[in-house]
Amino acid sequence: MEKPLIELRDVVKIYDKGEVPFKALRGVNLQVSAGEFVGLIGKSGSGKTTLINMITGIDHPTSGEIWVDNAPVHTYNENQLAQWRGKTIGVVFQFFQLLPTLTVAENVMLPMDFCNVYKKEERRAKALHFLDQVEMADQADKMPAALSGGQQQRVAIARSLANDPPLIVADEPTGNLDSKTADSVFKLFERQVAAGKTIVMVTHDNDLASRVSRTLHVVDGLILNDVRH
Amino acid sequence: MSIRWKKILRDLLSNRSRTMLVVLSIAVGIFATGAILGARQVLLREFDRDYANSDRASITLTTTNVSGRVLKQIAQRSDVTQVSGRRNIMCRVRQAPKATGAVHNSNEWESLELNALGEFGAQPGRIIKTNALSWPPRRGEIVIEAGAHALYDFKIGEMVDVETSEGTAKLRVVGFAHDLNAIPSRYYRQVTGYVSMDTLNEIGEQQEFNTILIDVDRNLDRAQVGRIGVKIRDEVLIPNGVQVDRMSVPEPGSHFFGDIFKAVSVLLLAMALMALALSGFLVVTTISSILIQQTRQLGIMKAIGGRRPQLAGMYVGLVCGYGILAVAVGLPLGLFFAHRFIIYAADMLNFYIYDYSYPAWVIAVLVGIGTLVPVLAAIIPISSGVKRSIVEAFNADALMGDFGHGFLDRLLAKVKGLPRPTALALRSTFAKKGRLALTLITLILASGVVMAVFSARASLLQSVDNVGNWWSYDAMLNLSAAAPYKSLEGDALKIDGVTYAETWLDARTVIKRPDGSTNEGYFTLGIPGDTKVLDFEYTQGRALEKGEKGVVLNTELYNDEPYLKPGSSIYLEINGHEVERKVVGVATGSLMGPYLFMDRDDLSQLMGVEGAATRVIIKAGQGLSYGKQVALGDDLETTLSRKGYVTSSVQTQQKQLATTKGQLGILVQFLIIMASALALVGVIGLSGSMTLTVIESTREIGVMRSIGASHRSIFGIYITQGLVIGLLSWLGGAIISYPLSWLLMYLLEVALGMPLAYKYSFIGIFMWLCMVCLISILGSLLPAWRASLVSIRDAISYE
Repeated sequence: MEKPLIELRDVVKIYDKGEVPFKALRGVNLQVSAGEFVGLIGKSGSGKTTLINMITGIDHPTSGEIWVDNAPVHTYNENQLAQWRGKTIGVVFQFFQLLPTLTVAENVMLPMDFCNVYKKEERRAKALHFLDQVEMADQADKMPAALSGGQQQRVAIARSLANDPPLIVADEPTGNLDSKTADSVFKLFERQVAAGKTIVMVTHDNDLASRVSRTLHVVDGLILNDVRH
Repeated sequence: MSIRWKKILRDLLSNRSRTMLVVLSIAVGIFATGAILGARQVLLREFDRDYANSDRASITLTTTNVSGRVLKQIAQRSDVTQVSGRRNIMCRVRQAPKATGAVHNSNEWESLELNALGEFGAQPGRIIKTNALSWPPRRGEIVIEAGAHALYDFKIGEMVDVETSEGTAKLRVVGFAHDLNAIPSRYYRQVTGYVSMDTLNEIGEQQEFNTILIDVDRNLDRAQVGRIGVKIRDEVLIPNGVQVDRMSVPEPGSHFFGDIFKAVSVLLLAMALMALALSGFLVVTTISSILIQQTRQLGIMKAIGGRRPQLAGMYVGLVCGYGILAVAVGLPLGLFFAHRFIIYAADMLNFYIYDYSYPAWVIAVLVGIGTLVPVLAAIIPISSGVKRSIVEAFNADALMGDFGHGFLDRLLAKVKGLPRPTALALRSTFAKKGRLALTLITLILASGVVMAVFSARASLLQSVDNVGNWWSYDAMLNLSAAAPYKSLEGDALKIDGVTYAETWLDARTVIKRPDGSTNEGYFTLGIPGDTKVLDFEYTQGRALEKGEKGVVLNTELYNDEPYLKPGSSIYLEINGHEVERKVVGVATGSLMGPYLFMDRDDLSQLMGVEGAATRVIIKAGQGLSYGKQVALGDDLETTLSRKGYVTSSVQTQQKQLATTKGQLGILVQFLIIMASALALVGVIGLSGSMTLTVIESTREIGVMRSIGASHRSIFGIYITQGLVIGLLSWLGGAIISYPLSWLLMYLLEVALGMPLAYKYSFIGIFMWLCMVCLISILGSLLPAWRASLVSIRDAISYE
């Protein structure tokens, strides 16, 4: 059997900054194969974001193992993680998180710059190519502040594609958009899955959740329901 | 340019007020360091050049009349490289009555040291620069040392009266010369002039030399040079019937003002470095705040692949960018100020500046400081900023302080009875404790130094007052020749209003050191044992008793000859004889240079002028005004001149104090200039801190606005915050100003080589309190205004 793209083994995450330690993940086991479109659903505070932060290496597990694309993510230090993440995972946030002082194209080129992929002179063409995929090529030289929320999220998706990662992780990418815009953004994700990417996405939107290939229901730090559509 | 650097460049340019704040914080440090370091290096370099060019004679002999033939004999000696002769006369000068625009009353006589120079062309280049119409001056012409401009507005072509003991003559001013080694006019109220030997006829003086300037091998030390001087005296002058009154062998490379300036400039440099350090503190607070604002962006960049070294590099680049801008602002301003300061100091100290250009290394150091200090200051905030994990970066609400946990917070929460906006302002002040601490350290240090300078000023003025207490008289007249003191005192007492008269004897004595070397002749005063004029304080030993054959030195002399402790023997050469006396005390100096005091009768016997005196000092009642003292001096002069005595100068106590004040004034001015630079750092620091607070409290302001706060109350909150910070820094500064002022006075004592009075200035503390209130309000005005303009919509959408 082919090795899964993502594998979590007994992942526990405890936050002990407050007065009482808080167990955000309580021994999660998960395998995601390449090409899957996984939707994570659950109530606020159930552990969805913590779970994807484990996958992206944005946060460290208290115990357990995380393997992504054959990489032992749980053993990496921060610099190794940054380098690895830049090449392996495209991250999309709820609030777009574009850098306000860079143009649209430059925002897309920044991960290439950090990870030093593509030749310098090719980077803009590559960025325009990804922007074209999200129908934003004509806005390439605008500043993010000049764009609507939906447009900014498209750019953020283009940025997540910048280094051509096999995996895209998105935390409520449509949570801040109206339903029509959310739909068009979702379609962009579907296109990426069709093109061979693996996507793990947190969402509150039940409509959208029903359109993914697999739904994971997170409750109190555990995956209670794993439904393949 | 890579995308990263584009981001940094745009960050630099997009937030102009923030960029301006950081740039100003750094620039003020570069400005202060540049102004002082630039001015100091140029002044030191030019002083050394001026000093080298002034070619100060290795040995100066003051003699009875000596002819050119004897000078030739000296010149032929193998241990002598150059010889020249002068006739040096102490007389008086005043502008012709019709002259206008004089700094002082043009009819007032000033002391004139007149130098008649032998052969001008063959002179060692002691008078180093002249713009005289004719040089050498012809018969009937005079060239004046340029420092005299501080006393008189002499004009080329005008006539001056010169009065000697032989009579008065009119001489034409034909130009100005610069002589670094001339007595500084500004401080000693004495003009130095140069004439040719044949002008001496005009003023009734003999055309013979009485001063011999000798140059020897420059590599010899002072003791070796002194021995050559003694040989010349014994082997050439005495056999030719020439008596040497005084032999001056200056310490090679040492110059009164040069030495003081060097010492004071180190002090100024220390203050400049402090300004730089404080500006470093400002940079730390501002950069930390910027990084806090960039926390989220740092998180995003990490999430999309940015590694720590890359991110740290970007922010180091940003800080370098600030540094470069700061250098562009601070360096030209600093160097411009340095230029003004050089002109000012050169005028004050009578240095001649050949070249105003700054040494290349000074510029390099300043550019280095400008870029390196911010980077050093930013290392900690940057490294802690990039270390923050992505989760923390996304969760950290940069806009919230951590108020409410500490002891101080709980204490402040207990403060009751304040209007609510004031209470809010007070608590908000303590919300960012790290920044508050750094801002306070900066402001407290700046405040402390400013208040210490106030105390230094008060102490220096107290020192002047002390001189006034130690020297109590109304007028003092110097005679051009010794006269019987009994008749002098009798004549003086006949003057209307004079209640007391005393006479002193002036001499120059050479001290023979234990190692056999001799030093230059020291001014020596023979004082009656029951003097009612002098009432010194003694740092060691005691005063002379009536008729006691001993010696008292002042602290200035003691600094030069520290082996002369009370109880030790001192060997003096007076009038060609060597005598031994015991040192009985060291009196606190009066800023008049090194002096010896002896009993008048003892000194007059040693000089072979028993019963004679050269000074008459009178008192007439209490608290005479400047004008009354001058009038009294005139009366004394007239009375004595009727009796046939010739006056060489008249001094009044008020004039003497004014001169002393002038000497110390320059120090005070230098210190105040530096204190102002530090105060400027404080203003920028406070304003910066307030601006950052406003930027970071935008959301909070929006909330307050949405629940009904008026523009005015928002404005008031930030002004109150500024005032609280200002008052805290005043309080802290007042506490540290006490030890700082002691330190400052100690350093000044070392610089001046004399003990100074100490006085803590409570008036200064109060004045600074008023200024701090003003500065705090001014510094918070702009940030508070910005805060009051924040709209609710802006505040809520603020990211």
